[in-house]
Amino acid sequence: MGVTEFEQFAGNARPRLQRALVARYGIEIGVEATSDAMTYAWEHWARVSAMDNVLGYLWRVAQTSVRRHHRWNTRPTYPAERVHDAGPDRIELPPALWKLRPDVRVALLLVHGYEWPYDEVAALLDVPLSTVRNHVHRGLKKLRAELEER
Amino acid sequence: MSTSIEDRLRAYAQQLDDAAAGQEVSTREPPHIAPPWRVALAVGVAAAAIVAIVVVAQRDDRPRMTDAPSTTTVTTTSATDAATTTTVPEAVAPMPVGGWRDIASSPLTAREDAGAVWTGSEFLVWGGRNDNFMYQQGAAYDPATDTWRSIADNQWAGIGSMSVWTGTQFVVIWKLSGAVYDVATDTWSQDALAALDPDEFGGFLAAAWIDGQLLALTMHREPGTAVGRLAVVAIVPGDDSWRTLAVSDVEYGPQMLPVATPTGFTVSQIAGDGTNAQVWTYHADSDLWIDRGPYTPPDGQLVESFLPVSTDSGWAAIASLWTEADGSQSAIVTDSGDTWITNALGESISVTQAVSVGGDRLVLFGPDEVDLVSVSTGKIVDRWSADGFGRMFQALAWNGTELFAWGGRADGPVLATGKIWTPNGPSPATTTTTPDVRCIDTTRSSPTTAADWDDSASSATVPASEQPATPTDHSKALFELLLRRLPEYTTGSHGDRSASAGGCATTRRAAVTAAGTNSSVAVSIVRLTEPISIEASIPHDVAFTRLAPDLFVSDSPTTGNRIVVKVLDDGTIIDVRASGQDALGFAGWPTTTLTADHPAPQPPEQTIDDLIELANIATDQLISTRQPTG
Repeated sequence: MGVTEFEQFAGNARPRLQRALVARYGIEIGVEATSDAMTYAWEHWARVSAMDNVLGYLWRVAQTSVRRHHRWNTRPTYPAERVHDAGPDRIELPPALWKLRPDVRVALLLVHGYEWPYDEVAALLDVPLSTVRNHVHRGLKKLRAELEER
Repeated sequence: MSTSIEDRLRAYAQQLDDAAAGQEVSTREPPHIAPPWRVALAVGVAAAAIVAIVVVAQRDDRPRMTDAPSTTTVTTTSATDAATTTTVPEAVAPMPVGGWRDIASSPLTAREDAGAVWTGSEFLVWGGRNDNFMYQQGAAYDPATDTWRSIADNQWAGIGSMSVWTGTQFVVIWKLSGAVYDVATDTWSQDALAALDPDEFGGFLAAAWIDGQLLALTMHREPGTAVGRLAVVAIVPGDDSWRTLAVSDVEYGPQMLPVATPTGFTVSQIAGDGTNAQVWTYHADSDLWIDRGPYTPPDGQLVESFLPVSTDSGWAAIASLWTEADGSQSAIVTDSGDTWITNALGESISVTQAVSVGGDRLVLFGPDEVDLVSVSTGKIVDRWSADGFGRMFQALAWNGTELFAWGGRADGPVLATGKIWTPNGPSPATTTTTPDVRCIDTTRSSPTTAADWDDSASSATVPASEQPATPTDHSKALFELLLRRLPEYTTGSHGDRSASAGGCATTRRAAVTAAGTNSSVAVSIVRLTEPISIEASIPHDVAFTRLAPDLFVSDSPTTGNRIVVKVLDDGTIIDVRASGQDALGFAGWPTTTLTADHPAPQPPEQTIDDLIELANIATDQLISTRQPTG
């Protein structure tokens, strides 16, 4: 029961949650927030496991953890882009990505970076499907404007 | 052929995975320490293990495990390079106005989240944690002797951040139980505080001591459901059980942020889409919950964070508001009862803790800096950003005249050092009220005889015939012109300064402005009718550095102004400031157009010397010609 069930859940949910949180907060805080959320899930597993949208709930738990630790304004850390075919005019993706509104960046990275279906992103963020579509559309448009139209 | 955006996103997502994995290994999972959720798992399975660990920690107050390294192997870069540093001239000691001083070394080891209270004579610190342990030790600091003494160990473990002072006892609660420390007998008691019934309540969220009883914010479980609602319970230490006070109809959510206030509790929660923040307040006098409604930021901003903080009069919130065009900006939000008032702080600042220090002032602590802000104006009054100031999760206590801060962490490991802040700073001179200082009428007491006198926002212009050819000479010419007219000081009122000090003031101001460039040099002499404090005297729009006990200097990276302030022993303030490129003696100085990412150019050191000289000359003239005013 408990431990086994939780570990099964954690094995699947942890990397997914971490990808979303890293997209939201950057590497350092994203990883830390994931650990906090998984700790919370374990401590409250009886209640959490009964929920319809566990990942969405833990997404909010993680955000609370970040706010509780008041790290929300800490500058995100993220890796530089590995580039093999960089021309002299190539513009770096990461700074442009991190200038996007956080929810837009999360939706864009999950959909196009990790190939999540739209409905799973909507469930995670607890927003309508149309909002995710808008986020992705707007995010791509802004990135194109930033990276290609110069 | 160029790679598409989608391809680059896919490749970069893989890089993020790799970097996160590296971070996980390097910072969260060294060979001998599991990630926190796994630690929790192990602790839950074998609860006795944590007891043993805590006992070990309690015996020698020193963690046995090595702290997880905080280094990261990923290439990092800043998303927002909004660094606007204040450069201190080399000859200037880096000691800002505001009176921070270090306190003696504590017998406690480094920690964060410790509880702290002011007992009336001592700063009492207990508990806290590092990355691996919670501590059960405490100590008391006596500011009169700058010494610490250890107090009895507690047999109960908990972080100390939910603690209150009853007048004779230090009470700390955590999860569903707590402990009471009696200062007079130096003893702890767990029996003095009943535990909450876990079937009926969730853990404690905040604690307050109001009207002779301990109030705790918690979550009241609805039988047969997973729903819990915000509720308040009360107890007098020694009673058999907690009494349930008002249970709200607000469903508790893990994203809520609570704070204890002088009148009860305030709880905030940001809407899922970030369009607003909801606030509820509990009022102990009426035992009522009030839904304050949603706070919706102006101009389509989104709420990134909304941290409620206690103030003398109730509560305020430090918010981070976001727009696509401007990014994040911090603001102070207050609720007047029928309208929300948003005071933008003018920039994005990191806030981890906030303490009310009287009036409408809050001291905000973040990892990079400490800010003194005014709630009513939304202004940053002072800022301390030198190494050692920025901290998070400290033990904090304000006793009405001094703010004690100890422990916590900046970006690195937890710390075992502390500081004390006094609003007036270490007094540079005895401030007394001289008999000839009286209130004067708020209108001019005499007609101006020279167009150069400035008692409003306008400045006179240096005639073209007096303007020198070169910028370097220009500042000197401005100074000379101003000096010639110093004896002609008129009197008037200065609303801002007098209002901030709560009294009226005598003010004399003079300014000259160069035609064409708007460069100017101005001297203001302000004398308040009440004994003044340094804090009230120093202009509050920028941070100052102390050059000498009575001399302060500041630059404003956003406006290019240089300001020198001299405080005389009778409380008179002489304020000399230069702005604009020519006034500072070199070309290329923008007056008001510096952007946040543009490092402020520094004027020649000579400029500061000139301003100080002008302040000294003004001082001499003032003393030699001092006459009763009014």
